[in-house]
Amino acid sequence: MNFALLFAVFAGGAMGSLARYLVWLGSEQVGLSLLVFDLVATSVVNIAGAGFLGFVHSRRFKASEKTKAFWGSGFAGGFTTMSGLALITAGSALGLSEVGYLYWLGVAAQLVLGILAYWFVRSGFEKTKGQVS
Amino acid sequence: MLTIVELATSFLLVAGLGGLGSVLRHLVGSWQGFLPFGILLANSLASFIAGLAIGAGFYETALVLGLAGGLSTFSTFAAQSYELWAKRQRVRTLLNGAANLMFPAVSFLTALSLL
Repeated sequence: MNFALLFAVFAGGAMGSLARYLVWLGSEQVGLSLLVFDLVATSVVNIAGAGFLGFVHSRRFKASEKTKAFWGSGFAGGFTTMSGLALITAGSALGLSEVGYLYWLGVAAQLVLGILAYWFVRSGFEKTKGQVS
Repeated sequence: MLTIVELATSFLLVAGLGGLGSVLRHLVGSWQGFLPFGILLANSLASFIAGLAIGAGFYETALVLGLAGGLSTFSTFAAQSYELWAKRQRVRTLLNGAANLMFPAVSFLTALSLL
């Protein structure tokens, strides 16, 4: 087991989780209802985090295995969350949603936009200089 | 409203537990099969922990946003889904999306029912 690599993941994960917590604290100031707040906050961190991982996975990101583990599995992994999305789908199923199952559409849109953000950033950074498309 | 000491403590707990959750996810994340089961397991387990932590008072923040948030991930799910799609594994991509939507939610509800 590579403990240096695991420590890099731990440090990146700690930083990413803290950054996500700061986004949560900031979003709380807006004063939205629980599920809307959760949907907005998870959308911000998940789409941005997926895009950032696209950059880390691109050929342009030249770094050691430890650095990649810090920013990829650590920071991007810790910054983004799926348990926050589970709260929305579960809350909607329990009837806590003001707009019924429309929240599920928001969650599904977030999944699609996250994958698109990863693809868009990764493919954008893999283009060589002078390449236009 | 949190006091300064409570806020500083919550920062430390979220960072420490988030780092721990990330290491656990890194360890199980390499499990691949018909679907990327390692990340599905991490996301479902994290949601179960989040469900159990509801109502844990001050420690709810540390457990939900720290441990569960660090253990679960969206970015790796997005990367794995993209890889499946790029390999023209359309059905597996859709199944991966549906599974990562349903299993964590069911885990969360199961944990709530145990409280």
